[in-house]
Amino acid sequence: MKKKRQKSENPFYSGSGFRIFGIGKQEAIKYFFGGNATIAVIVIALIIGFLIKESATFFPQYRDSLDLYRKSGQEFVSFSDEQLTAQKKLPSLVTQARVNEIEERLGAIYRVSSVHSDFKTKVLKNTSSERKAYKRAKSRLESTQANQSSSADEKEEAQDDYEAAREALRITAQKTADSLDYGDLKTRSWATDDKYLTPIRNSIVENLLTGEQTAFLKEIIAEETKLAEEVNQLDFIRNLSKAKDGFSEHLPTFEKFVVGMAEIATQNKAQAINFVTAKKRKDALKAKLEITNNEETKIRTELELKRVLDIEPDYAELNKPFYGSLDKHLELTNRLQKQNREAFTIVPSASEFESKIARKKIKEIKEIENSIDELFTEKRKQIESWNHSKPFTLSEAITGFFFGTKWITNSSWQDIYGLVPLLTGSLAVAIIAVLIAIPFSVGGAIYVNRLSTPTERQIIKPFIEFIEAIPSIVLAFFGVVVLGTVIQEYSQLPWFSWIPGFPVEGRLTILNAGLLLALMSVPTIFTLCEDALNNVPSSYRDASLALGATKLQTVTKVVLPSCASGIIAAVLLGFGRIIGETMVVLLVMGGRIAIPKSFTDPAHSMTGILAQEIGEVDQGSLHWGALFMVGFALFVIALTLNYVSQRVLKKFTKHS
Amino acid sequence: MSEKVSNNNPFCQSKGGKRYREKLQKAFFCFATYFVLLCASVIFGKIIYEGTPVLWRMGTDFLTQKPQTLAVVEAIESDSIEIPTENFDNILRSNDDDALPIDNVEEFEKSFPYKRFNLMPGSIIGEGYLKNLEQQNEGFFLIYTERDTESHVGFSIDQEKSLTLKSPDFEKLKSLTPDLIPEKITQRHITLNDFKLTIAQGDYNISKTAHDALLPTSLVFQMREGFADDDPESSQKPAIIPSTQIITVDSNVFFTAFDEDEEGTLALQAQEELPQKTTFYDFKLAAGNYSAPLAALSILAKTGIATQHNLTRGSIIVNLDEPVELELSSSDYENLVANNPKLQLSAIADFAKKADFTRFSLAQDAEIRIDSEDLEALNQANEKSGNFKTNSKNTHSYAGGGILGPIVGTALLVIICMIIALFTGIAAATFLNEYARKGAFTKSIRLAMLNLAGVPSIVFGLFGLGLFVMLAPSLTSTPHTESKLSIPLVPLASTPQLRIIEEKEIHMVKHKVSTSEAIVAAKSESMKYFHDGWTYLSFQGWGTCMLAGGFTLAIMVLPVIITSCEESLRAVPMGFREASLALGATKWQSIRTAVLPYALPGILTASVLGITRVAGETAPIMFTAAAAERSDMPWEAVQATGFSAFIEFLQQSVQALPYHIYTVAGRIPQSEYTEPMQYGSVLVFMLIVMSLATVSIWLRLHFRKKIKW
Amino acid sequence: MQDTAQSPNQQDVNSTSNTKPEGKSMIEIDDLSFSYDQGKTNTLRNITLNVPEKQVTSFIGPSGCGKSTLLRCLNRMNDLVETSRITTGQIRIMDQDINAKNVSAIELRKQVGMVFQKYNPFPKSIYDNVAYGLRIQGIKKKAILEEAVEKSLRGAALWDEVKDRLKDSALGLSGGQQQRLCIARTMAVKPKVILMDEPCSALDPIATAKVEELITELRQDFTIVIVTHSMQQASRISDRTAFFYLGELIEYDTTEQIFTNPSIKQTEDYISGRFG
Repeated sequence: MKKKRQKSENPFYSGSGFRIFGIGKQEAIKYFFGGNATIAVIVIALIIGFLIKESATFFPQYRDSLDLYRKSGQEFVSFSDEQLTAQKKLPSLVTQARVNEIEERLGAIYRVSSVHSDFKTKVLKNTSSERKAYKRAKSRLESTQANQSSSADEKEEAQDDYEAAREALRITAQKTADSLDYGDLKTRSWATDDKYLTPIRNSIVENLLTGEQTAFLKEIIAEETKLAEEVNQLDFIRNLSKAKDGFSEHLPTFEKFVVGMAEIATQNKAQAINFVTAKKRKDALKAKLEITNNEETKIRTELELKRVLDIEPDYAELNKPFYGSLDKHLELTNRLQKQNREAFTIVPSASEFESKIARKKIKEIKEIENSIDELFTEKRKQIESWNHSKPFTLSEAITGFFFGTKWITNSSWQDIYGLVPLLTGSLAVAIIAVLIAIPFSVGGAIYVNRLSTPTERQIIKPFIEFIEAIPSIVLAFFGVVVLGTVIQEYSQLPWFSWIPGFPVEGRLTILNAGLLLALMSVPTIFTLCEDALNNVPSSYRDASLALGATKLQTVTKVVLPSCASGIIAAVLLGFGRIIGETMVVLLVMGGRIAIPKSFTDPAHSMTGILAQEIGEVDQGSLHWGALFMVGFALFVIALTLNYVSQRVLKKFTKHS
Repeated sequence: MSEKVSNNNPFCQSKGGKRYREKLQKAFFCFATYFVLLCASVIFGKIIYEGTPVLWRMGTDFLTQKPQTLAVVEAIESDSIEIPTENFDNILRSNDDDALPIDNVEEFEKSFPYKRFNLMPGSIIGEGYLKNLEQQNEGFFLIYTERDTESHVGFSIDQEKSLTLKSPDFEKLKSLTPDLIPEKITQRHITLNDFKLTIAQGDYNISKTAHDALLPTSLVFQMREGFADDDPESSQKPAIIPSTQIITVDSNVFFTAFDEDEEGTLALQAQEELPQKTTFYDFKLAAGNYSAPLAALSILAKTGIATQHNLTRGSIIVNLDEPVELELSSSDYENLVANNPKLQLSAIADFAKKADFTRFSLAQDAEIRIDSEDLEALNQANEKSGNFKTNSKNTHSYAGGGILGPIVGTALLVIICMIIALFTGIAAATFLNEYARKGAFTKSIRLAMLNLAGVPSIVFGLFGLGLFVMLAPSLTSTPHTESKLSIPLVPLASTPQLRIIEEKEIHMVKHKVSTSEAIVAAKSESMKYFHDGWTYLSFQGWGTCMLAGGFTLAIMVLPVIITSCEESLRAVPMGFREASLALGATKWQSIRTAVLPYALPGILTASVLGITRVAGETAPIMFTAAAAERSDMPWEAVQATGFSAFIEFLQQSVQALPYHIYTVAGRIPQSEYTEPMQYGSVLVFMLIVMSLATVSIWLRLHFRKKIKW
Repeated sequence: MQDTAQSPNQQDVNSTSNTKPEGKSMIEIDDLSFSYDQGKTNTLRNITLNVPEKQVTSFIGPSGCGKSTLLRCLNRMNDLVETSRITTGQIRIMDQDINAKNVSAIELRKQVGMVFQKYNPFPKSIYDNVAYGLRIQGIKKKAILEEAVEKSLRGAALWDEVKDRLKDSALGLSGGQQQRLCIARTMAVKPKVILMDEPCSALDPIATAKVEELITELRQDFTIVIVTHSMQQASRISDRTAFFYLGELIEYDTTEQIFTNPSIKQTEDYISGRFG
C-alpha cells in the first residue's frame, strides 16, 4: 500500500526490491562478476605464494644437508673422486678412438657379422614353427635310426618327414631372408656394401639348416680379424694402445683408495643423519607417550624413547682417517700424473686417424691433456685446505643452487641441486628453436602479409593456426619415433659434415627437440609478426611505392624497420613459450643432466625435470623444495620474458 | 632484345640483376612459408599413414575397449580349447586374421550351475564371503554398521590335518570348544632355558641379526647408525649401551644375539640360566565342516587352517531392511553355507547361467597375441580340462585393447574444466567490459591476466598440485591426519558406517579431545583419518582427481577465455546497450537481453578454442588428475549414494589421452607390439584435437562473415 | 501536479528571453551545469529552460555546443559516463528532481524515452524489437504485447509497411524504417517524454521527411525534445527552439520568434549561416 502511494507521488521512485547489507540486486550482480574477475589476480598471487612457500624452506634445509656433507667428510672424498673421474675418462676415450678407427678402416666388412646376426634374429622369429617341426622330425629320424627294431618302412617314413620339414624350413627361411634389407634394421646409421647382401641371406639359411657356422661367415670373420689385426699393427694405433696402458696403470690403486675413503664417509654420514633426526623421533615418541592409555604401548614407547640416540658423534674423531690420508693421496696422484705425462706424449695426433669420430675423441684427449694437471692441482689444494668444522653458510647454499653445475638426486652419496645444467639445457633448446623459427615465421609473415595472393592467404593463415593447435605430446611422439632416427641417419651423410656436432650420435638430442619446438613456435611468432606488419600504416607503404620502390624494397627498407620492435616482441614471446614447453623437451631431449657441450648432445631442462620428478617426491622433502625452486626460477624467467616483450610491444604500438 | 626495349621505354622493368635478386628474395619468403606447411603436413601424413591401418584393423573396438597388456603366447598344440565367444572374437581381432592357425572352430552354449537366494536381514557373514558375494553380484554393496565376534563361525578342512599346539593355546582352545578336540591327544614336555644377562656400558658394534633379535627385549641401546632394509645380515653398525643393564631373554634371542662365535657381540658381565618347561599337544582333525567360536578359529588359523573369516574383527551382521536377491555359482554357494552357520537364506533356487562359448583347436607352436583379460578368460575356461598349454609368454604393456579409458578421462576433464572456466570467464569478461571503471583495480586484473597467459603450463601443474591436490579445503566429518589445517565447524556430523571406518582407516575418537591430540592419536595407530563427531573444514586437498585437474586446466585456460569473451562483448555495438537502457532496462537486464545474446557466437568460438587448448595439454594434468593405469570406468567405482556419490565421482583420478600417449611413448619398454598402439592413440588424439581446431577456426570465420551490425 | 514554472533562480540566467512558455511545463531545467571530467571543466553552464508539455522543442547549435549532452542529462544516460557529474542546478521532470536520491534511473527512463542518432534496432525480429521494452518490464502476456506492438507501429506510421513481416529481422528494413521502428520501440513503453538525438542525420531526404511527419503527429501524445543540426528541420517541426553555443543557452523562444526575429546577435548570425 505504502509503496503504491509513494509511487504515485514520485513517478520515478526507485522500487528496487530487497537489500542485504545495503547491497541491492544490481550491486550484488556487479560484485559477483567483479569477484570472478579478481580470480586472475588471486591466482597469480597464489601461484607466487605457493612457489615461495614451498621453496622458502629449501635453502636452509639445503644448507643443513650440505653441512652434514662436509662434516661427514664426503666433501673431502668428492674432491678425490673428481680426480678419479677425470682420469678414468682417458682410457675410455682411447679405447673408443681405437674402435672407431678400426670400424672406419674396415668399412663394410666390419658390419657384416652384426648384420648377419641381426638378420638371423628376424629369420629365427619368423620360422619358429618350421624350426620346431624340423627339430622334431630330425630327432624322430635319429631315434628310428638308432632303434634296431624299427622297420625299414618306419625309417623311410621318418626320412621323408625329415626331408619335408627341412625343405619347408629352407623355403620359409629363404623367403624371409630375401625379404630382408638393410632398411629393415632399426638403427641404420651406417652404410653396408650391397655386395654382401645376398651372401648374408644365403649364409643365414645355410646356418639355420646345418646349425653350424657357415663358411661365408667364417671367412668374413677371419678377414675381419685379419684386417683389424693389420690396423692394430699400425704404428699410431700401437702407440695409442700403449698410451692406454699408461693411463690405466695406476688407476686401480687410486680407485681403491678413493672407494675406501668413500666407504668411511658414507658411514660417517649415516651416523650424522641418525643423530640429526633423533630429536624429531624423540618428539614424536613423547607425543605418543602422552596420549596413549594402553599400558603396554606406554612401556614400549618409553623403551623406544630411551633407545633414541642423544650423544652427538665426535666429528673430529670420525674425520681422522681423512686428515691422515693426505700423504697417501699425494703419493698416488703424483704417480698418476707422472704416468699421464708420459702417456700423453705417445698419443698420436688426430690427423693420423681416418675416422671422424675417432678424431673427435683424440681432440678430447688433447683437451684433457691441457686441463688435467690443473684439475689435479686445484683439487689437491681443496683437499689440503679442507676443514670439516667450517660451517656452510646460507649464501653458499644459495649460490650453490643457482650456479651449481650438478643436479644429482636419489643418490646414496649426497643429493646436489645445481640449476645450471637444467637452465643451459632449457636455454640451448629454446635458442636453437627460435633461431630456426625466425626466418620461417618472419619470412612467412612477410610473404603472407605483403606478397601472397588473397587465395593463398586464405589457405595459409588457417593452416598456421592449425599447426598451433597440434598438441605438444603429438610432436614429442613424432620426435621420439621418427625425427630422431631421421636426423641420426642423415647426419652421417658426408655433405653435412661441416655442421659442428655432426654426425649425431644419439636419437634424442637438443637438436631434435629444437626442430620440433621451432615448428611449435612458428605459429606464435608468425601471428604476432603478421599483426605487427598489419599495424604499419599504409601511408608508409604508399609513400615508398610512390617513390618508385618495388614491393620487396618497400617491405625490407620501410615496413620491416618500422615494425622491428613488434617482431622483436614476437620473437621474445615465442622464446618464452618455448622455455615453458614441457612434453617435447621431456621426451625428446634425452634426459641427460649435464651441461651440453654441443647442440647434438642430449640434455635435460627445467620443465622436463619438474615433470619427471615431482610426481615421485615426498611433499616437504629437500628434493621437493628444490623442484619448487626450479619452478620458481622458471616462473620468473617466463614472467620476465613476458613483461619485456609486452613492454617492447607497447612501445611499438605507441610509435605507429 | 629486352635491353633495346628498356632503352625506348622508360617504364619498362628494371635491369636483370635487380629483378633476379627481387625474384630470389620473393622465392625465399615463399619457400619459408610453404616449408613450414610442408613440415606440418609431413607430421600429419606420417601419423595418418601409420595410424590408419591400426584403426582399420581394430575398428570401433579401439574406441570402446580399455587399454590392456598384450601377451604374446606360444601355444602347444591342443584340441578343443574353450573360451567365451566374446573373448574369442577379441583374439581374432588382436591377431592378423589369416595369421592365426586355428581350426575346428565351433560355437556352442555352455551352462553353469548357479544358485539364486534371498539374503535375509540379521544374517551373520564372514568378511571374505561377503566380498565374494559382492564380486559376483553387480550393484550389491553392503554398508554394514555392526560386527559380531561372539557367535560361531564355520570352517572346512579338505583332508585330515595334524595339529601341534603349545599348552596355553591348547588350554584356551579346549575351554572354548571342548567338542572340537578329539580324544586321541599326545602330550610332549620340553625344557628350554631363559637367560638372565648383565650387559656392560660402552660402545659396541652390533650385527643386523643381533639388532633384530634385541628389538623386542627391554635392553636400552642407542644405534649410532640405523640399519637399512637392504643391509646384508652380516653388516655391523656402531651402537652405545648408555648404562650397565640386567635383562632376561629367552633362549632364541640369547643364541641369536649373544652367540660368541660372532664378531661384535655385546660383552656379557654375567649370565645365568633359568630353565623353563613347555608342553606341546599333538592331535588330528578329520576332513569336514566345523563350527567354532571366533577365538578358537584364530588359534587354529596359526596352524595353517585356511579361512575367509576376519579373525580379529569378527563377522559382519547384515543390516538390510529387506531381503535382497543374490546369486552365486553353486560351488561358492556350498562353501558359503558350510562356513557361515548364522547365515539366513530363503527362496533358494537352482538355475543355470548360459554363455556363448567357442571351441577351437590350435596348431602347434602357434604364436598368439592376446589381451590380458582374454588370456585370463582362456586360462579360466580351460583350467580343469588343461587343454590350453603354453610354452613361453611375453607381455607388452598397453599393446592390447583400445583407448576407451583415456578418451573418457579426457572428455571428463575437458567438461569439468570448461564448466568452471566458462562460468568464471564470462562473468569476469562481463565485469571488465560492462561494469568496471578504469582504475587501479581493473589495471591490476588485466596485468595479472597478461602474466597468467605467459606462465608455463608445467607451473600451473605445480600450482594445481600444491593447491588443489594437497591444500584445497573440503567439508568432511573425517579429516585426514595429514591435513594442513582442520577447523571444527559444527558438532553434528553423522557417524560414519562401520564399513567406511574400516576401509578408510578412520580413527574413532571416543573421548572428545583437541584436534591436534586426535591427530596424534590417529597417527600413532597409523590411521589415515579421524572422526570425533564434528564436521571439519579440512585443508587436506582433493587428491589426484579430475576435479583438481579440471580446476588446474580451467585456471590455465582462463586468460584465453576472458580475453576472447571480452573481445566478443566489445564487438556488440554500444547502441544496443543505450537503446536498452533508454527503454528503462536495468543494467543487468540490458546485459542479459541486449548484450550477452549477441556476444554468444564469440563466446562459443572462445570456448571451442579453449577446449582445443585444454584437450591437448599434458603437463598440468600429469600430477593433478592423470593416472597411468586404471582398469575401470570412473563411474563404476562410485559406491556412495546421493550427492556424496557425485563428490566421490569427481574425486577420482582418470586416464587421459595425452598422458596415455606420454606413458606409451616415453615410459614403458618399447617393442614392435606397442608401436601400432602408439600410432593408433596418437592418430585418434590428433583427429580429436584437430577437428576441434577446425571447428574453432571455421566458427570464427563464419561468424565474422555473418555478423554485420 | 501543478504548474511550478516559477523558479526562483530564473533571474540570474543570462539573457534568454522567454524561458517561461505557456502551458504546463514537462521538464524544468534550473541553472544546470554539467561536467564530463569530475567538475574540472563544465560542458554545460548554468542552463535554465522549461520544456512545455506535448510540444516539440528543438535544441540547435553548432557541434560541441552541448545540446546532445543536455539531452542525455534528461534521462540520465550520462550516468554511463563514469566521470560525469552535475555540478550545479537541477532538472525536474513532472515536478520531480530526477537526480534525487530516491529516483531510479530505470524508472525515469521508462518515462523519458530516447531515440538515437544512429538507428539501433536489435538484431531481432520487428515484433521482438517493439516488444522488448515491455518484456523487460515483465509483461509476458501475448495479447497485451501484440496490442501494444500494433499500436506503437501504427503510431510510428510503420504498421502498414511491416504488418506482414513482423517476424522478419529488423535489420532488413530500410534506414528510415529502422529509425521509425526505434521510435515505435520507444513509444511502446508509453513514455511521457521522447528525446531524439539528431534522429534524421543518418537518413536520406525522403526518409527524413517521413520521420519528420511522424514527429509532427506524435506531439499530440508526447512531449518531444529533439536535437538537430538542420535549422530547416527545427523550423519545420518544432514549436519552440533553444539555441546553444559553447555550453550555454543563448536564446530560447518559440520557433517563429527565433527564426524570424532573434533577439540576440549570435543567434541571428548562426541562423543566417554566418558561423557554425
